[in-house]
Amino acid sequence: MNKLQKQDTIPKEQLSSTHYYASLLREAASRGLLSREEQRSIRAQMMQIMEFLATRYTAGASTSIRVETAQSLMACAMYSIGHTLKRLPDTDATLDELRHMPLKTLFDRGQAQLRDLLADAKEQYAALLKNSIPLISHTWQSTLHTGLAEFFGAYHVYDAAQDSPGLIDYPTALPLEDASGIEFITRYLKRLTLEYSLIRRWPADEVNGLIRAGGAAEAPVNVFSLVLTNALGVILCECQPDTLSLTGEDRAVLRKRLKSLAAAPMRRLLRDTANMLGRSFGIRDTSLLRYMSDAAASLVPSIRNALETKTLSRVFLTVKAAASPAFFHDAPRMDDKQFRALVREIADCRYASDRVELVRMNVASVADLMDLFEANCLTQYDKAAVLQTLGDDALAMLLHLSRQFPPDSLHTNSAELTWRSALKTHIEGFDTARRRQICKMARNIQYV
Amino acid sequence: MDQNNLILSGRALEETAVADILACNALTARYGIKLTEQDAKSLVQTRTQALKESGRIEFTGGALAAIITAFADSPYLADDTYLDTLHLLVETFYEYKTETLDTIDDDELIALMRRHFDRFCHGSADLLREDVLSAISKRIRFGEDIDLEDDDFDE
Repeated sequence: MNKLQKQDTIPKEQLSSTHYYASLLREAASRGLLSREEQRSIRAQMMQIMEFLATRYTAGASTSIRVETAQSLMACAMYSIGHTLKRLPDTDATLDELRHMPLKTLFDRGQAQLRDLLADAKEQYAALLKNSIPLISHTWQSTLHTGLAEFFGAYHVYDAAQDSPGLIDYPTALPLEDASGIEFITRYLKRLTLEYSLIRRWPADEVNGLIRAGGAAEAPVNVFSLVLTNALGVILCECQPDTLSLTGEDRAVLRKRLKSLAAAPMRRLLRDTANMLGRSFGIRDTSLLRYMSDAAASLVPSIRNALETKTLSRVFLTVKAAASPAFFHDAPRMDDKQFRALVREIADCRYASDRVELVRMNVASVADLMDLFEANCLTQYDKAAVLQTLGDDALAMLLHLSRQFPPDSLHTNSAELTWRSALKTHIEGFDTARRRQICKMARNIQYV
Repeated sequence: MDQNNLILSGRALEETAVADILACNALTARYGIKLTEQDAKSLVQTRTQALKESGRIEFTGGALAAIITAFADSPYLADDTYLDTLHLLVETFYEYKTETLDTIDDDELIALMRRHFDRFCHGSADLLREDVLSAISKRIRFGEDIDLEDDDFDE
């Protein structure tokens, strides 16, 4: 016999999660579930909460606040009340609560629950930092170490509980929608923790190789998706997922296996494969298994597109090793006395050609050359002429050193900016191949 | 959030504000100046308008009574110009709450207005608004640390 299930007057899923309280009131009013008297009472109580919040915000020093501040305080009040109401089992119980419980009590309860949530989120964040592995994804690093830290530094439950300060631009594999404030951060951190618990099963070097191959070092690309996709690819090639790299031959196998599948069977296959991956690692966490399965299913459009456009190598990646570093052995630096004497001698020279010749004859170390460039004894023209006497190795080394601090860094001064500008102009004068070669050397150089 | 809705739903607050203003008559009568209920209602309307124009909202009775009380013993207030001056002072107060970036408390701003009204402006609310407070708010917006007790407002 079918079990009878009570139907909610307002289905919870029809309400906005971010603006739960407002959407509940709107729906209740439009369906005639709140009388005019009840609506009036709720509005009047909200005014009292606003008076309380405005007084607390100004510490009693001002009777008026700006409209934008009032909007933010109102949003905070609604967010707090909405947070406690959405924890109730159904919307009928929620409306009963609204009718019988003072709104200020609901607000206070919501605020207390949000404070608890904030404390939990801080613990989650600390755990994530503690278990962090050195991924080369810039957005991951900046979100983890800067964006989230800024959030916890600037978040205020009291007057802006609905806000999410801090730049959090690292995407999760499954996008988080309809959430804001600490509710968003809690769900975001939970997802990052799940994702991280899978990523950590491979060595950081291998994951970083995948990030490199996926062009994800600088771009906001989800690392879990890269790892999961390749791990699924490895299993579909009937190999053990102890490595993440796929070869051209592996991709040929994958193409053969996947090309005839419509979306639904492919989704099933990927979900099954995600479950196999979970089993092979002995994963028992059902949240992680479900997340892996859902994330695997979400890969279908990109895989189908790659099959159609014959670009499977952009989805199932070959791990790319880091470029091996080039070692630059600089010549010994001259002592300070000798250096000061040279600076004086150059400054006394009348002709540019003499100054350039003095540099060429006396300076053997790139570090000394940099100091000389910053010693204000050479003109911009001299610096350009000196650069012309240097080989590509030395130019690459100078370029490498000039990138240690960006031009807008506090560490740069005008003398540094002028030689950097001369160096840039000099290298830009080369043909593309030579320019690229110097830039590549500069990127991989290790100063010895 | 609709500012008008908030203000309109605060009708009870307006009634409180009118009562607060009329209560000030007990003090101001000593100096020969008084407001009628009609005057009080018009002042509340001016406050509502000033709040709108300065992009502000009030959830309590407001600062009207505080302004009236602070200016009550000014030698420059006369019965025939009292109401007009108060209208100007109310407008000025809310305008400069916003213009000074909310950095000055109500009591501090009212005290500042009162001091300059008597000393520098010799009872001209227009001069107070256009010269004194304009100069002070400009300095605050430029990030200067200003001493509210200092009479040299236009340094």
